[in-house]
Amino acid sequence: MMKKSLGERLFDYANIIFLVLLSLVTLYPLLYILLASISDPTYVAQARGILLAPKDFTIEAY
Amino acid sequence: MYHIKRGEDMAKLEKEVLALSIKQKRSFGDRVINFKKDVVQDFKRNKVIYLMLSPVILYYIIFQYGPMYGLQIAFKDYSPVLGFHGSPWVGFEHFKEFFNSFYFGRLLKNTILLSLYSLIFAFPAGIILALLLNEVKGRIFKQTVQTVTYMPHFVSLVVIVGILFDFTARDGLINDMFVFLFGIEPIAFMRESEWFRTLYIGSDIWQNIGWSSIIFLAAMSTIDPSLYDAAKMDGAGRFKQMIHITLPGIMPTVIILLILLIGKFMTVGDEKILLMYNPTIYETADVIGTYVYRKGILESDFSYSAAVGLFKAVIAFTLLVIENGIARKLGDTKLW
Repeated sequence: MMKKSLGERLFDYANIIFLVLLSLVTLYPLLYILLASISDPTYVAQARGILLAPKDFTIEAY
Repeated sequence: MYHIKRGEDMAKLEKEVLALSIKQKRSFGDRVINFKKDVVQDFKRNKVIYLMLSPVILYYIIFQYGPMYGLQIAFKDYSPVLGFHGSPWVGFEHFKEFFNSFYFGRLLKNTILLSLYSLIFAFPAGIILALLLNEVKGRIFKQTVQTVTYMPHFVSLVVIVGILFDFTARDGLINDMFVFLFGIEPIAFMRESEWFRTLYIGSDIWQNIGWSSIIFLAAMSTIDPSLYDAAKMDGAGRFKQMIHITLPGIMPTVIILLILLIGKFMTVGDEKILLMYNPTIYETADVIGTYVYRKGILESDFSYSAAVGLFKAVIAFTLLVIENGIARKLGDTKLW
């Protein structure tokens, strides 16, 4: 196996970081909708910033 | 010796071909009869295949060609009471009205700009993602990224636009982030006409990048690995390999997809715009499709909206023919 040049290694890292970021950006809105659907609606309407866990779990919406 | 023999063979072959072509120059009547015979014979031979084809043909007749009968209302002053036949002809009256109307320039500009932007930004996005994924060595990582990025494709458009509204609201995540990072005033993205195109194209890329990269990845997997080995032997780095092997390898796929995309050039995502827009951003958001919907369905101006729709279809068809012609001239890749 040929040894990778510095440029190649840099590209590999940058590539992986980019793809991870892309995956997060894709995944979060979907996760957000899922969490919002099982959270208390008044809380979701007021919430600022990132929603990471369901708040006041309820399946009323369903 | 061999040479000469080959030459003689070739001459013989040419003569035969010439004789055959003369024989085939039959009269037109002969050819029609022959054609009929051929069709009947072919039908007898492949009964089952024709039977299997029939639902497709029926679909096209009933749902694609049948409704074209109603297109005549574009040239009539249609009223549902009088029906298709009873309504009086008005010629190109509706077309004239549309071309002279205030909306004509705006609609055309919005439609073309949205299509052009999605051609420039959204179409290459899938190719770039496929190229990047192709460079990843870890199988599991690659498949995870692929699965995650094509997930939004299966989410309903209504939900996607709902997410968009939530995230771009004045107190939404994107505004919070912008305010925190750049210290600017919150922007009401969905109510500013200059942001509409960015949001439309951006969310389109977000939703479809993974899905469109699949087909390019599939095209890449058919490239002969020995080409890469040969390139490595010649001292090509990974970037060079990408430019000289991967990209030419997927070019036929790219061109076919491009032709198909241009066939839909005048049909930008009307449903999505209907979900996203409001009267304050008609300036940039209103396209031919949504205008037809508002005029035809909401205001019941059937003839006028049929004329506008027909105008759109004619342009789309012309574009497709031109583009296919160009692709034909440039290379072997073409639709027909």
